[in-house]
Amino acid sequence: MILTTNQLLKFSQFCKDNKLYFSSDRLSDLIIFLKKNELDNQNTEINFIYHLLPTNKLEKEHLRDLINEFFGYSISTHQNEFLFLEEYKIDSMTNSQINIDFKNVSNDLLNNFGDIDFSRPVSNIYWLNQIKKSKNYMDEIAFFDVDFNSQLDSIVNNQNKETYIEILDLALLQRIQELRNQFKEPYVPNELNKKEDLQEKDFLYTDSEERNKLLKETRQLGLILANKFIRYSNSSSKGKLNFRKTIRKSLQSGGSLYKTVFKPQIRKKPRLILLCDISGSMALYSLFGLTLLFGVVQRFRSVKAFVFIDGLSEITKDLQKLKVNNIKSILDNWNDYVKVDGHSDYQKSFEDLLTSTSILNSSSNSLIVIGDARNNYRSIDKSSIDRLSKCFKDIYWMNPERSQYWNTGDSRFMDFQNICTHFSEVRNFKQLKDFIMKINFKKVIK
Amino acid sequence: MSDKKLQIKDFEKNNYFATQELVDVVNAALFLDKPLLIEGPAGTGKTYLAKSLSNMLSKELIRLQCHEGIDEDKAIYEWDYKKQLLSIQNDKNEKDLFTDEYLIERPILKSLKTSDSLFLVDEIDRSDEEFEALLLEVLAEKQVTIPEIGTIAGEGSNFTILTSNATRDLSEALRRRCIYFFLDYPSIDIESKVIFSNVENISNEKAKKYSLFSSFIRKLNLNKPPSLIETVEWVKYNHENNHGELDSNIGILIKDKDDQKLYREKLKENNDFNNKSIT
Repeated sequence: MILTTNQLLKFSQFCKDNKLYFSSDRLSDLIIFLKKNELDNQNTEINFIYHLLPTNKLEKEHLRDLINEFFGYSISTHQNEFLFLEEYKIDSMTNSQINIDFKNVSNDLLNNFGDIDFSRPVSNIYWLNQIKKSKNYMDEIAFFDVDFNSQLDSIVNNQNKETYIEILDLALLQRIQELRNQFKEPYVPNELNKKEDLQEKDFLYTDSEERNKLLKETRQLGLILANKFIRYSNSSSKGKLNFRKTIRKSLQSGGSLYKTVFKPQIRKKPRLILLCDISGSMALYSLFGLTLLFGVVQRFRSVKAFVFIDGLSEITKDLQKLKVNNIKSILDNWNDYVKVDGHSDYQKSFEDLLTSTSILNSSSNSLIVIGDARNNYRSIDKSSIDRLSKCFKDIYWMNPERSQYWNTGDSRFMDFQNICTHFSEVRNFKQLKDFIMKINFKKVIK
Repeated sequence: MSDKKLQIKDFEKNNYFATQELVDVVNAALFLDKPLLIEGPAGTGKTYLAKSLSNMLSKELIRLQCHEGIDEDKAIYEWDYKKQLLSIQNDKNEKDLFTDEYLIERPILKSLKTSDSLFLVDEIDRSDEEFEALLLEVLAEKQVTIPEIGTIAGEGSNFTILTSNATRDLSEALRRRCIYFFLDYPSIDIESKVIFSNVENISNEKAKKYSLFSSFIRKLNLNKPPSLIETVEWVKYNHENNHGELDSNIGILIKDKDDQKLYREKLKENNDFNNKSIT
């Protein structure tokens, strides 16, 4: 074993400091494996740390960054691959394979670009974009501009070009960073500062790629929430003993009682009601709220999902019909959900909910609200809040607004805080996950 | 602990094209004698890996397909009540009614009793969380406890593989007992090898072109991206029937109306872009 046990323990401590915990039996399994297998180099051993310690995908991704930071070794991921086509007419190409040293290419491009003042306080992307506009760069990727007869070849060509540009740009960015590091106080642009944890990034500041990734995870959270409610809803499903049927059943086995039959328990199943504010002040948070609703509705039928602005609109059936990529269409058709003036009205929306007879048939219902409680200086009736509290066993509230702004201006969150079983600020994925994990639908006591 | 180390070529001999990463993880799981939990999207070869491994390791494959509501009667064992009743009626002095004779073995018990087996728990995420708890004893201790008989411990070297499509989070207790691997859609290299070995009379270059094309489709943000097997079937049909157009028979490849629409739009965009850049 090249890595020492001490080094592994230090690394484990380093992971703990960075909020990544591994059980001691996983660590001891790893040490046993490394000791017995006598691997020939340290990088192979580090690869096994990456394979054997994590227990899920998120941990793996986190661990990859920590390994890079601690050991200075980057775990290889899917490599971008090319298929060099004959039409490219590159002299050095043999058997559709070519080895391009992107480091050299990027170096040449930078050297031929002329004088660059790297001390200027602009990001690396700025310099990359400047280089991309140069003739040398255009020439570098010109061999992809070939006329193909087959549609397949032209798509393959586009794929090759995209991959080539992606790798070349990355090499250029790395070279630019190296050159900038030579200055006394190098400017570290955001695109290379990977320390920020995506899970803790405000939904509002995510780019489209990050957003898609988080929306996928949010949908999973919806499934988890639905599973929690299904368990609660299915509890105590057996009714009283059906004596007659049990005796009749026993005749099949010569009178021996080996199968008991129960009467179905007639009780109104508890329902989960989900409300999402989609007014303007909610901005991007409503998309995440709707995705959570989508996840729940897809998994569980005994649920009612609503959106509201200045009145309530049910979207359960719409969500059931929607595909995961089309959730945004609800926000695109925002106008359809405006009842009066398009400014959020919690009083009217909750009144609509309370008068909706279809949902208020059981006092064991639970309500989850996603909203900022900003009521545009409209009044909220205390009796409505009391009725709301009586109608629902539990009320959970996710507020996407920073907690220091709660109850300021037109926020009426204080009115609702008292009747909530649990409420919290939810602006990023971590907060959302924590909130969902904390929800505990208690069993109905009859 | 197993001393046998598998190589990539062992997998390839069994028509399974794996990355070094996956081979390493399988070897580690075999060495540490721990179950292997494989998570990933549908159609990436998780179940097929178990089948190939059973061939490679010459172990009998015992499969348990999980579904909602699966319980110990279906997974571990069940008493044959009818047989018990009959034997009471035939022989009033019947001795013990809870013996192996009256025990119906289900996959978990069968795998424990089979001396050299590979036990596949397929799509564990479809089962309930209560069922996961049932599995814990089997995974960690390789034994099950039947109240009427006692504890039955596993014989010989058994290897367990669990697969999951990650539709729900598995419990920490279950994950902790397994070696974890995320099997994503294959790389271009692996996919082209699979196409090459499954489609007759296809050149290596053409196989690679199709795999690049398939990676292009998976980047389209479809509701259901095509799986490896769907790609292979589509290439097989098109190649063997000389259908050159990329929008023919897409029902084999893309099984969603909106996805098909998006796919056709992207193909058209690609055509328009090429025509523009040529002119």
